[in-house]
Amino acid sequence: MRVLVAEDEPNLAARIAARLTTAGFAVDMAHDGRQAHFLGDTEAYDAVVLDLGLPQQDGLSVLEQWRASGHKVPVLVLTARSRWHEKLAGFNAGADDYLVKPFEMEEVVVRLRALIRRSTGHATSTLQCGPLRLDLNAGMFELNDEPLELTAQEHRILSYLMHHQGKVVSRTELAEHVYDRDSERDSNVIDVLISRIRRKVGARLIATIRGRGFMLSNAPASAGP
Amino acid sequence: MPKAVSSLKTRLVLAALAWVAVAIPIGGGGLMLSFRDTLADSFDERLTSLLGILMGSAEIAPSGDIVLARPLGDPRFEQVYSGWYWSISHNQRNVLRSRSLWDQELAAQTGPVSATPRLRTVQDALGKRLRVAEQTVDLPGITVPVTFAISGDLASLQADARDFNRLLWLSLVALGAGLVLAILAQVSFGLRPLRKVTANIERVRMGAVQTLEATGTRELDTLVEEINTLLDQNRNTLERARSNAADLAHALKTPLSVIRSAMSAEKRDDLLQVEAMQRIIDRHLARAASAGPRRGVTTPVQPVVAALVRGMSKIHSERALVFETQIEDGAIFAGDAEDLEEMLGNLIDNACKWARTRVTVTTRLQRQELQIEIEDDGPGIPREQQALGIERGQRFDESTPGTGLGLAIVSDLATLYGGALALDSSPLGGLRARLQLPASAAQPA
Repeated sequence: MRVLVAEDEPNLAARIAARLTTAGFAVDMAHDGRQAHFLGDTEAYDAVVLDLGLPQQDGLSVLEQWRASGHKVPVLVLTARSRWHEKLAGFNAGADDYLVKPFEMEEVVVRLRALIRRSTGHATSTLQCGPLRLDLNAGMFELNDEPLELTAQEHRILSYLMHHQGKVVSRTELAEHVYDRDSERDSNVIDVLISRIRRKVGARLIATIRGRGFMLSNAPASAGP
Repeated sequence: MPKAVSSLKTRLVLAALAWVAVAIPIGGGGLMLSFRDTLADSFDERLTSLLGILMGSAEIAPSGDIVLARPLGDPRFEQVYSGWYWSISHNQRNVLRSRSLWDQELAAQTGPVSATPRLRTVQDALGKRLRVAEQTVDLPGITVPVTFAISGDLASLQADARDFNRLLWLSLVALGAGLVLAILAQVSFGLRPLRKVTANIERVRMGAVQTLEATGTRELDTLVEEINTLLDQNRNTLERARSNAADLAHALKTPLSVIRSAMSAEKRDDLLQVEAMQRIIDRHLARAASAGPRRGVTTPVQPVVAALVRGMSKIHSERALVFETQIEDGAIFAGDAEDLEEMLGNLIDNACKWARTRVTVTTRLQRQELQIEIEDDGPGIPREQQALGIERGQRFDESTPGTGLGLAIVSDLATLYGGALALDSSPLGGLRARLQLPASAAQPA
């Protein structure tokens, strides 16, 4: 899962990014409104944390422009302004949730996970696929009720597949949602990571669809030739 | 103290009426007098010219008697006692006289011989007032001076004057009435721009428009410009105060977020201090950012509730809450939109936090009062705490941390508007918050 954090206060931005990375997200940062707008427009994010008081272009107009050009990415708005007037303005611009400063870092993680889960069409906070379970509140995988050890990259890939289970996910899509902007993207690495994950959760769960990508499902028969 | 005149229009009309009431009688009187003089002068002139004709017609017959060569043309000299008489006399005796005199004499006064006639007014034996012109002349062939006299009846003159006066006053009354109507029309035409400005100010007061329209009259437009400048300043001052408060909050809150995130969870006491700071900022920001009651600012309740419900559905999307709103058409808050959003936002959000499935928003209008009730079907709060809440909004933050601050802010704002927040139990099972606010009597334009 990959998120954009648009916050101009460097100290706060760094803390949010650090906490989100710990929670298993790939994080990009924007420090002003124009950069935020550009990144949101060109990169594939699963969610955005957007401060409304950004320099150069304020968060509200960034959000309005995204929505006007059809971006449906879930947006968590951060605002120092606690009046309902400002919150309503945020919702009218297309925000999906808001947090008033100051807030707990944990709260950002919880809200983001909920937003991503809802945007991918899941109603509960636990995603299940056969013996594999993802507890979204804790951000932990379990296999047959035992905690599953995964590296950060494996976690992101499996988490993305889990949210989109039953659908074919291409290598490019996976790379886009698993790496931040500064990482080297090599789709061969994806294959290596997928095979490592298969070793941990069992090959049966992840099918390779030739020429298209991968699909996570609890299909009884082993898929693919 | 002079008694206040009720309106500009009355003042103008009264002043014009006084002017008409004085000018018309004076003008009429003057005309009447001068016409009477003119009539009298022309009467005298006619008599004098008739006298000249009479003298010109008199001849001395070879017998030495005075005879009239031609009769005077006017038939009135032939009508008995018509008042129109003539006589020629000498030695105090009428020698010749008009037929109309019949058995009377026109008592002629013999004066000195003169080139111009003498004029006087007499009363004859029949009681008629006569104007007499007479002239004493020397005639060749007669030793004593001869007096020619001619008289006319003044009654005809007076009849003419009466006719004229009647016509004069009739036309003056008509003129006066016409003037009054013209004045009324003029005043209402002249005051129309002023009425327009008054209507405009009313619309600004109601909040229907922001500035006054120009009237197209130079004198008033200066005033309109001044008022618009004042209105602008007023708005700007409020906007500045609000954005200052919001900027201050922003400036304080971001570093506060950093401090808070840097603190370890073990430093429980320090965290509490940070939370206290946050609450103080929120509470004072709410009060500072409030517009407070201002004349003429009104906000319909329906759109605010609709926007809030849309927002709440997103915030609490996990819960699949059902919102039921019953907002009357005439439910208009006599106050600022942002303040209403703040009050209802806090109350509805609070209801959403506690509700199991349902949140209702209902309005009730009672004359000048707007009642908005927000109810939920959650667990509610104990009666003792409700009572505390009604007495002192401040107690909320201590009794129920987290949700309390919102209620305290609502209570503060409602009090600012002369309203109140009351809490009791809802028939749905949860809390019922009843917000009493001033209602606007006016419909929004």
